[in-house]
Amino acid sequence: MALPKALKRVTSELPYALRHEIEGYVRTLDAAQRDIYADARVTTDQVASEDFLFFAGVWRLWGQVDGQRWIVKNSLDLAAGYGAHGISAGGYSYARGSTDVVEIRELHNRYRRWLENRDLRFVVEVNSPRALLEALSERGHGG
Amino acid sequence: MVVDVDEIASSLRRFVHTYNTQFQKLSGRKSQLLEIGALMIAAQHYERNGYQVSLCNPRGGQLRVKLGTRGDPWNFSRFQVVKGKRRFEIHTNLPVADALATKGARYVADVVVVPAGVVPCTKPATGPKWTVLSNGELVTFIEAKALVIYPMLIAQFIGIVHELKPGFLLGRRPRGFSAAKHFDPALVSLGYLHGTCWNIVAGFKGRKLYVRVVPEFDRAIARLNLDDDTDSPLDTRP
Repeated sequence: MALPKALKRVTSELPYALRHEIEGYVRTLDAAQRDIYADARVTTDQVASEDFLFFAGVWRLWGQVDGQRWIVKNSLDLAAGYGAHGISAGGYSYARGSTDVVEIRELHNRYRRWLENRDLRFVVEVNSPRALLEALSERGHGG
Repeated sequence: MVVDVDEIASSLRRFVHTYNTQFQKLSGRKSQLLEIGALMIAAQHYERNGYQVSLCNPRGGQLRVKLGTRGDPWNFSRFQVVKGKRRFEIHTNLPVADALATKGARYVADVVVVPAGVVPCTKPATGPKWTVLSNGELVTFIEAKALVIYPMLIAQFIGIVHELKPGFLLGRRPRGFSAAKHFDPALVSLGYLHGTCWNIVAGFKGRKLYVRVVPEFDRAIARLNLDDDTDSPLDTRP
């Protein structure tokens, strides 16, 4: 199945590497979706396949933003435990309050707010494709 | 409540467009953050396996991470891990000779574990300059990628293991390796494990390939920070 047009409209705005990551992930779910639907006991009448794949892309993008925030925050926390108050690497310097760290946090906060403002908080809360599908089904997301 | 996918797509497209610069940077930072995370998770692996972990050579109170092939190891930070008589160091991007000691061959692994003391802490005042780790001094290593894990990435990683530590592909860990709680050579990635790889990775155990594949690595490091009881994601026990 081709990627949902709605998703392509979003990913076409993303940098190449990020677009490749999101679209590749959604294609993988596309290939596995029969099993995912069966595991979740959801039918395509309840949640249309292309809607599930669209939200899989939205979720994966959130995962990228959230993941980067986590890796910076947790690396700084762990480094602090070893007596370092920051991390320098390849010309970048990461410390609490540094420009890069603030930017990462702000993008995270903005995307989360964007999701919450559209009543899509479940995207933040689910932890698997199956849980995403179940969340869509519970919202009565008819195909 | 029914969701209007078209309206959401239009809105998210506008959001991505508005924060285009931030998304560009998000994409550009991935590799370096992954290597930082890989270093931290290696340190955490040893801490969670009973080692005392200390940071050596922090510059200005900062952990200075060597990211590329350039630069001498004494100008960057390293971790020292100690448990009883066992003393090792964790380095980043260290040049390593291959298992056959092929003349001129240099492999640069992202995170490298070595016995303590084999890599100079300061620039040697006399004698030949330190340039490469001998293969026998390489204990184990991590390759870090910001890529989706496809079969060809696994094949590339297996190729690196073959050149650096072929014993791990022959069902053999070095003597004392498991007792010291080292981790097997590992591929860690921010990307997910592509469906075409599921059976490949699942088959490693039966084939006695002692390597570790850790997808979605950002989640693993978050779990380590949130929970002191979480096992190292690099742990593999036979």
